[in-house]
Amino acid sequence: MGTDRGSQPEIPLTKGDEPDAMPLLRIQALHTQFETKQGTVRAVDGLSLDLYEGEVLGLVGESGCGKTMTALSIMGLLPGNGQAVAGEISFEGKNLLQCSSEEMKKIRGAKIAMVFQEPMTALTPTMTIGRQISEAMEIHLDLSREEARERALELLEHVGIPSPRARFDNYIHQFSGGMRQRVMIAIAFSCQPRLLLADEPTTALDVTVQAQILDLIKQLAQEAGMTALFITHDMGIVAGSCDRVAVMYAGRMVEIGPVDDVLLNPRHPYTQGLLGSVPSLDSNPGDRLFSISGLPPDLASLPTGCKFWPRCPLADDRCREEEPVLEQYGESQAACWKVMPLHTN
Amino acid sequence: MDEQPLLSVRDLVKHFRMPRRSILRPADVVRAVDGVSFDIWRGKTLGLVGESGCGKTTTGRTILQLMRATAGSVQFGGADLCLLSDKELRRFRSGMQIIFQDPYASLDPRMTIGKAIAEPLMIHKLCQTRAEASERVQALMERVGLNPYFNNRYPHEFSGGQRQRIGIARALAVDPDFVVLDEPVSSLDVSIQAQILNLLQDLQDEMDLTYLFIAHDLRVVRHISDRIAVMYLGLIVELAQGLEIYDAPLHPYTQALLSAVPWTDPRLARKHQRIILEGEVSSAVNPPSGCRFHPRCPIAEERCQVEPPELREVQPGHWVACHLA
Repeated sequence: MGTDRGSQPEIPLTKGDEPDAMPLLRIQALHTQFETKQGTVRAVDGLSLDLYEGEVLGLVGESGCGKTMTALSIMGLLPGNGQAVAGEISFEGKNLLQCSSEEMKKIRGAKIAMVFQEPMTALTPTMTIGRQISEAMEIHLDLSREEARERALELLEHVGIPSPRARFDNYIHQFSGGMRQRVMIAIAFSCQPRLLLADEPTTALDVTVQAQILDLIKQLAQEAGMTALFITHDMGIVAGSCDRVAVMYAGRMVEIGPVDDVLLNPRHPYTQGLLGSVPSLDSNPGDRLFSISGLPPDLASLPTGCKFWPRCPLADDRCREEEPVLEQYGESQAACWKVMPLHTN
Repeated sequence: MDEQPLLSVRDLVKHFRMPRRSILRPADVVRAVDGVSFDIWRGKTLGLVGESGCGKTTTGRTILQLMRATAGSVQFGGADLCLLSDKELRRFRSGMQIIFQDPYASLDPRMTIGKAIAEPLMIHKLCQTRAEASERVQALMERVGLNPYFNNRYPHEFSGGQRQRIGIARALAVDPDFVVLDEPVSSLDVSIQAQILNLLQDLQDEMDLTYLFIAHDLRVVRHISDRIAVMYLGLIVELAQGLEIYDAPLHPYTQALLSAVPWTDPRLARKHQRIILEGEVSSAVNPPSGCRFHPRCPIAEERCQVEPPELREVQPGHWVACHLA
């Protein structure tokens, strides 16, 4: 999306630079943990993150780095054995972690909506898709059944479902993968939430359909001036769809900044490794890929010091003992003792 | 490229008959692979790309005779595999192997990985004694980056990337010439994906392996392939040298596929004009008339709806099936 936000001129273009801009969502020192037979799994371990009005923030990292658990903590939808044990998530002046389940019900869907990776498991198989879209609007927007139906039809048309009237009474299994994702997007946008959490919304889709869905989410979010948190493992999706990007490793943030800065000028060795692992258009076929050795750490027994050191080519004694904190480098921040502060372009 | 190819596929067809839904109607036939031809030379990699349901996996399995072809021929090791009986095929099995997308589903959960890797050695009688086999297993495990110390463990004790290494060790145990790699890295995290791709390339160089690399990720395919074939609804629509297909794609479907690739360079991502295709892949039960891509094609003409285009060589080594290319 870059900086092209012509339809919302009142929203500042680069929110990160303005200290007085209040974030729409502020996550402070969030710790989300799971009790398992192997011990306490620290899925999110002291994450702090600000989301500013109107921006699209990409949250990237490999499986198990805590990106989905961050989103589920925001939504208050953590699985049974998981709990946000410390920290704060402020949204519209409220700490979501302290909200009762009644209060969360009013926020979920209405103010914060989520698009999941697998529509088949996220939607109800025994309810028509028309009902599923209008239900949320009847509850949150206080519409009558007839009004909700009309708006649901408009929404289905808007997200590109052909002949919405005929499809209104269909069930989710009667749709293809791309169409299912469109239905879920229609539900997510139905109550015009201020914040959209999209968790790998295109991972299960084919490339050409993936492009359709990404464009659709971008267009809808732009029309509504919506703020979005885009969770993905694909740096390519970040490059095409986000304004800022945050890189997570072992439940914490290791780098954050504007997309261009982080992707063209990565500071953290993990970010560099992630980018180097993806074959690029200007690489020579047959060259060895830059790969990160080893495996992600066991979240039930994390290493001391920097959590990345066992896989880091630059690690030394200090990295093994002392955990680095986020420091400012140019427009971005990175948590690494080895960053050369010399990048100037 | 004037020497004999290691593998020659000609007019390969694989149809599946669906269960009858009514006694009054004939059974539906899924035309998964509908006339595919290509050659692969020794030590080279052919990348086979396309979206789900285009027939790329069926092509790989039919070549290996894991499913028998409806028609066509597969020349390998001086024989047409399609004409051989199951018994005659056994002799060729050790020469061709497959590595699956999900190594967990393809490993027996109750067999230690040491036994799993040794199994093909015993079946093909490549090792006479147990001691010899265990020595081979140890060497193979080391070669694919697994600690031989773990040979008594079970598949569930390993991560996705390690399981894929087990799958690779098992496939390479019999010292094959030709390996079908069916989405070998698509279920892995990017950092692990890079490790496995590097390993596959090293092994190819060392063992002079020939690969058919099936994948949907065009970034990965560009990296590993010498030549690339693009499939759509059971047919190859374009085939060319690796870089040529990326620099100058001729088929509108290839162009759209390439424009949808999420490259990681944000400057490139913004500059690239995406060609957003309308609709989704048509059904392989009743493929569209004429060119199968015409209902989604941005430049289709009347002729495209009637006349199926043939795969023709428009430049040396660059084949395309489009009337307008």
